[in-house]
Amino acid sequence: MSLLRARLLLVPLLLAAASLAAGQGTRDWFERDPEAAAYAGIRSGVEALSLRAQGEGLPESLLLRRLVEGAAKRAEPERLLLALSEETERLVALKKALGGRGLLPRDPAKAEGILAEGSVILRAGVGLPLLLSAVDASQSGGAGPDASAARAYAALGAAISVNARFPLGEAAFRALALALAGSSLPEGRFGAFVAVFARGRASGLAADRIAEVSVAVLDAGGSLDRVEKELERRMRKP
Amino acid sequence: MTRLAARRFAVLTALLSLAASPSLAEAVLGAGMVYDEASGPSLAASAQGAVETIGSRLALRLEGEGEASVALPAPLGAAPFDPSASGAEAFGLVELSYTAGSLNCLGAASGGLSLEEGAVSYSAGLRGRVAVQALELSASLSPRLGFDSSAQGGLELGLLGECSFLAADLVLKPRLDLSAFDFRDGSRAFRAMPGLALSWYPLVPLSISFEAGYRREWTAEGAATSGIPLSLSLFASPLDKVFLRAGAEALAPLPSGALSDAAAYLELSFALAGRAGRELRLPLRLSYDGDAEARYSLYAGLELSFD
Repeated sequence: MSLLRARLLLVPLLLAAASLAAGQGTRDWFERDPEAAAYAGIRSGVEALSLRAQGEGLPESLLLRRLVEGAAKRAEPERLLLALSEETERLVALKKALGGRGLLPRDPAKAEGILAEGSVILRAGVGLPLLLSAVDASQSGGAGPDASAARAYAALGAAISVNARFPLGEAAFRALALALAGSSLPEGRFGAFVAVFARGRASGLAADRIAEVSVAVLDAGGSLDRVEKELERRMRKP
Repeated sequence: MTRLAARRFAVLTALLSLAASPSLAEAVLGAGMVYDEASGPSLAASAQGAVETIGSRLALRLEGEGEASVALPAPLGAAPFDPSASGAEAFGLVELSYTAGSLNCLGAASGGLSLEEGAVSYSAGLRGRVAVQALELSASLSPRLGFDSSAQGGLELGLLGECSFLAADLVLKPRLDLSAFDFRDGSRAFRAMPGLALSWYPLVPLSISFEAGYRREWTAEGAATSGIPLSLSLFASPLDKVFLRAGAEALAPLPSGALSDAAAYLELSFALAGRAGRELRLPLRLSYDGDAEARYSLYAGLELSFD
């Protein structure tokens, strides 16, 4: 999980970048942006990826966003091309998986947002199978088709934030993300689990133990106050 | 093993087997040095262990802990050597909880033994909780019965009624606690304590709880006293592998309002090493107890936990 942890700190930044709208294509960018000159050597490769993305029905702006990000960071051209290639494959896989389940909104802007945020979650080190399991858990918990991907991302994002400060075992990370996605908690409450873990860890509980207790409460339909009560019973006295 | 003990063991085994998940176990071993302003230095050692199984409906938890401290002569006679400051405590707990839909029931039995200032005392308690959970609202009733054989102790019968609901990042808990006491010195008292507790869970690794209330106590002789109990606790992880917790409580008797019975602690602990299921911690704790006379103590130790 160390690679995952290293990437986690970038998640809020990348989520913000993913929400930016982009109206131009990669070809326009190479012709008009002053930063593009340094990347002329990979132009044909980027345009090929752009064509592949469009052929799969992906908005070109998704790839352009990563291109602009990479250029702003002055990434080496070859590394940027590799990153764009990986991003294309990620987005293609994600679109097929979500589209195949009928979970991509018809509104192109909303669908683009779902794909962009999903790509951020995947780049943070979460595998596509876990992401899809979280989507399934969201639906089992009552989220409708249009809301289930966003709820799954919120659950995974909360588990990622917890894991960044309080490292979890793979099984505990997975269980926490799925329990949050399938819980009766509103998405706005998920972020509180960083504080819940701080309370438990400061009181001597292991991170995996806090996750197990939280998962048991959430799976039983419990809320944040039940998690608090269950943890208080187990905390070490000062 | 007596027949009764065998039967109890069989019941516990059957309950454990009813739960769906395998048992989880944890243990913590600790050792350290305490310096108390009044009684001088002492060596302290503690061991805690718990095993629990959490099923889809049933959960069972067994917990035991022991603690001992040995008083040491203070260097250069900084404090008078008091061998009676040595002591030991042992505590055991069995908790069983049942969840069905929005209903959660908990029953617990506990017992403890204490050796303090050369005198042995014991305590025993039973408590329960019936809670009903709605989406972001819950209500619970928690009766308790406890006995403490120490000179200041006695029998306590209590009932806590509590609501709990979420508002933004806060868990708000209006509550009413009622207790009746039959002390060992023959006196009796009744206490009512309405209050409000809140816990704050922001989006950062920090959590704060605060509680305030009104306490009214009547003795069998008809005398009545009242006060405002206050408590505050804070938990945080300011850095990776660094944990902070602090707490303070006091009573403001009315009508004077001057704080009394104050106690506080500040604990900073560092996770020195850890692998899956094991962790070595260094806790540093400063405590203040203003109950009878103000005294400070400092604890530094090592804790090894297995999970």
